Amino acid sequence: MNNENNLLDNLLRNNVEEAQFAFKEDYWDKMEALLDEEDKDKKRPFFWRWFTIFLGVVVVGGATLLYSKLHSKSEIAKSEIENSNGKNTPIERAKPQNLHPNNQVGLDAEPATEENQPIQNEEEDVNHSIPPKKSYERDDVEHAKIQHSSFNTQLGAHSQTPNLEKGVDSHTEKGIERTVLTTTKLTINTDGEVAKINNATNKTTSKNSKSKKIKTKHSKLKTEVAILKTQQSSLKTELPDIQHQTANISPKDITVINGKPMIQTSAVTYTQRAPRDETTFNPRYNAALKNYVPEVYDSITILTFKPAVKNEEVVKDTNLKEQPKTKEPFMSKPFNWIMLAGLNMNKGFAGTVANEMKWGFAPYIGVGLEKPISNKITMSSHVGFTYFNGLNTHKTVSSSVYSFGLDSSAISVYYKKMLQLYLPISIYYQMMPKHYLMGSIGASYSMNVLSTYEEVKSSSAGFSSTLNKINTTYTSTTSKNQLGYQTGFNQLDVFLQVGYSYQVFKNSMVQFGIQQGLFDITKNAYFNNTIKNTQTRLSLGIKYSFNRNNH
Amino acid sequence: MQEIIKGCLNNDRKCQRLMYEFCFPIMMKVCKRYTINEDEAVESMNASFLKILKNLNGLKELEKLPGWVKQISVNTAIDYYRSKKKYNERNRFTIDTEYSNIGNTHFNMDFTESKMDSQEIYKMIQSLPDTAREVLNLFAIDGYSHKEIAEMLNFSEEASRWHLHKARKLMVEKMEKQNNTIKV
Repeated sequence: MNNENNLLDNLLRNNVEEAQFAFKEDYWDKMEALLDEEDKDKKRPFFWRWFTIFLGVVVVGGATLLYSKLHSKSEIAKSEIENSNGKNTPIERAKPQNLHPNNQVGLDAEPATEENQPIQNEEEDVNHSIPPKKSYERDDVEHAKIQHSSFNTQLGAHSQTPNLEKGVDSHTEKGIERTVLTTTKLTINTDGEVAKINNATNKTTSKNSKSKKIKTKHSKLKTEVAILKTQQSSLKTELPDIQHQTANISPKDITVINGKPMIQTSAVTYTQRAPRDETTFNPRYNAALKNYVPEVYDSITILTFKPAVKNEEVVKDTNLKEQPKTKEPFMSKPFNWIMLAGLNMNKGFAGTVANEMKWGFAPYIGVGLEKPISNKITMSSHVGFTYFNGLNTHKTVSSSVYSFGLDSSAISVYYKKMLQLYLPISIYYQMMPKHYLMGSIGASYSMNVLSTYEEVKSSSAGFSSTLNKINTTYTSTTSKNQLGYQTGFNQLDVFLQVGYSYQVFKNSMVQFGIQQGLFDITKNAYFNNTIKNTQTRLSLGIKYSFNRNNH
Repeated sequence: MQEIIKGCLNNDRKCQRLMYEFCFPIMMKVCKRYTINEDEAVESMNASFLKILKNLNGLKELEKLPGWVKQISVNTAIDYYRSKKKYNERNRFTIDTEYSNIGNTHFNMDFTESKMDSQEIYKMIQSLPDTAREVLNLFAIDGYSHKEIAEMLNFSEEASRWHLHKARKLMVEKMEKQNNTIKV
């Protein structure tokens, strides 16, 4: 028995070794296709490296922008709370009795008195300078808001740019008064002439260490405004009636303060003191500190505002409703939720099935965020769900099985739909009102593949003793839709998209886009072909923006 | 040959083509008997060649190249079989096997006088059931032991013996049939 086995094995071995096979060019073509695919796979990591870096930069940049916005907002909120709680500190230097309208600059130059030196004892100054408490704790000084955005933070003592301005808004019975505080510094140039140089104070930078000082200073100045308003009320121009005013409003005259349209009615500048030469008047002058600017404001400009309209009913009857009021709040909001829905038209694959390639329709839906980054550009991103149909591919596996009643079986898997999540990062550019151009880069991930699974079984029907063989066979076919057959597909794809959007309503856009995938989605080694199948789709849908922050 | 290997390592297509032509007879001989048809054989052969290219820099001695190519081809063919088996199991294709009934079958054939066409032998091997074919190839032609085969194909040694017996029996039947056809 063993001998026979060995003989058989030797026979097989010898015959197998003797066999000769002819080389066919077709073999190498297939091999070359595989090698080309391998080369592509090697190149992909380079793309992903750059794509990851790009995404990293976008994320870090976005986070920094968001943080800075939130940080400045919280600072404003803090200062508002402090001011509204009456934590104002006493006035340090500005003496109402020393302030005069700006046409008197120079005439009231103060000599080098102790009062004009950098602050030594604030409490002492307060005792000397402030009027009785009642005069500045008036009811009309209810609230002050520091307008950080109006701060000029240019550095450099010799800059020729306009003077540093600080704005304080005061809500009063007659409206809002915005106080513009100007600090100047005088230096003597080589010719001995007095030159007025912009105050480039290092105290007004946005560093946290200085912010408390600034807030304190503004609180004090707010109180000064109240005092000045009392003392110089006769200088103010009386405002015409609101109803008359609204009829002649020009959009340029309107300033939005705290979200309300206001009209500037007057601007009066008061000068506390004339510029002075520190080297002459200051006995403690240190040349090394020549760029040091004392925390003293030389002039105060009071801008008085009135509401552009009295109430919402008036707005409806005036031209104000025609003003681009809606744009400003929309742009000022940091992020808006968006929702997208629509229909994709997918270009089918040139697959292993000889069916004609067709376009297939598939719905899509998505939720995300958008952020206006300038007046004309909005950045947007969302997570969407759709499917890609028209796969036009199938795979058949035949198997001979030797068991009772079953001879062979063939399984065919017809691939139908790839269920996908996708994440685009889009930029919308406003070409003209209501018309936007859109460009996106993104990635899609196929979560699963829906396929039609078909099984054909060939079974023996019986044994014929006369013919001494199995005489007939029958076949049974079962077919069902199943998920999970995704072996032959690449799950990840990167796509580019361009499109056009039209703003139908305030929050709604209709958009059309063309999307092109970059990668081959079908694995050629699996489907045994050399076809490159990328995802191409046209989309038509609606984008709805929610105004999340309604403050 | 050294130049060809260098070219292959530098991803030179011409050198890769030459290497493919060199490896082709070795790989085809292996792949064809481990698979059921030419398409599968070519698929397995190309997968083997990819592995060869990837691991070519690890080849120390040039004389061992043919043996090394053959070994990679066998391993790839076994991997291919495993993946196919897994697929069949996942789709509930089970083969009812009874390993206990291995009798001593006597072959009524004189192997010493038998002269078969090698292409016919290949066809016969390809027509064997998957597992029987793999075991016959591994044991009878490539010289693996039952223990090694059992580990490679993830079943018991008993099952390996049974499949070998079955394969031999089927082969003899086919050869006898072939001989009878020739005589007639």
